[in-house]
Amino acid sequence: MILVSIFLAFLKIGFLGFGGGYAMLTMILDESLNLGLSLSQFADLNALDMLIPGPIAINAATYVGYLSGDITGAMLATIAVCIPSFVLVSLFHYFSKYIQKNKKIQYFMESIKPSAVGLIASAAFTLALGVIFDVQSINELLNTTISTTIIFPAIVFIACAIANIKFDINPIFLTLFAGVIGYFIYYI
Amino acid sequence: MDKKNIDWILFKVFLIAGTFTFAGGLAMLPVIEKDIVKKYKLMSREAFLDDAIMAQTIPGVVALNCACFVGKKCNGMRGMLAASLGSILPAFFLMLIATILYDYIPQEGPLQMAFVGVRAASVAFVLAAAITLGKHNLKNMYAWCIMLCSFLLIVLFNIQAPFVIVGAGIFGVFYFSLLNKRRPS
Repeated sequence: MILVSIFLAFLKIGFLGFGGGYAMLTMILDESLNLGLSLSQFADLNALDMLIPGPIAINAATYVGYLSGDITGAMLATIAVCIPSFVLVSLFHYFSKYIQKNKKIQYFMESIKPSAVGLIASAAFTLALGVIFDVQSINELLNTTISTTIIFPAIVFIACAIANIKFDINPIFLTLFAGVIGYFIYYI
Repeated sequence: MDKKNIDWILFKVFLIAGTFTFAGGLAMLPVIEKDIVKKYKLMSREAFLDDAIMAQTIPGVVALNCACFVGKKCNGMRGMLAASLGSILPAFFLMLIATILYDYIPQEGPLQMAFVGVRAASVAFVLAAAITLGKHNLKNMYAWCIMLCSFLLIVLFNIQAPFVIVGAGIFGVFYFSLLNKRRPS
């Protein structure tokens, strides 16, 4: 049964996956929580995505599929997320000129792009709640007492955000560096 | 060039692009363009850019969409299959190996703290992705409103992301259609 759920979840993500890799990652966040992954496991997916080459959605399908359904799950998820491309390209291949000139499709795309930004921001928000505060929703956040365990992840989050956004430092380097720092912090 | 040769070239170009570009599908397009257009001269630059735009217009994995369009144009169904296999296989196998290894790592002691660091860092890069994309796509009030509404619908009302983005697109069709009817330019 889980294999069917995996297949359907990624088929849906493929067919509704507008807005590129990170927007699709937001959709995968929803589905992977439904499939029984934890928020931390999803955050680890993000880190692995950074370290492993290839399209984000295919990496994510392989990872989520494997963790919830082993190697069969990984293959099914990857095939499912790829099927829409084959179907849609075969269908639209002849109409490519028409599609690019069609006003309605331009309006559609004009709104999809900012929406994708909102989607990705929401994924960042949900992940930040889970990874830094260890809560699932805003309500939960208001009801928890803040403890000292948030200090280390909060500092890493802010430092990496500034280092990457302002100073354009390589994310792979920052990810590995954060891991090494964490390893040594354990001994303090 | 004979047909078998074209299939092999398509497979190779997309395989190499998939193996050596990090940070997702969009980063692959320039690499693929260089090989397909300049090195092997399988299609003109205009035809490739056409495909690249279409790959981002239809839903799904951008790099794979691009492989399908380019493959189809170069050598029909067979070309499409060759190019798409090239773009899928490296990501699938490398990620599978990485996931299996990751599954083996015991998350306790100092390694658990290492994971806390890695996770917190990765959240920062999702935020960075939103900001980078925002710089390109949030150029007027309308775009800001759509972005904010999408964000709030997901965070506050738990609406599923795929429906939010498709909903935004449909809203845009009605909004701009009405706007242009009222003020014919």
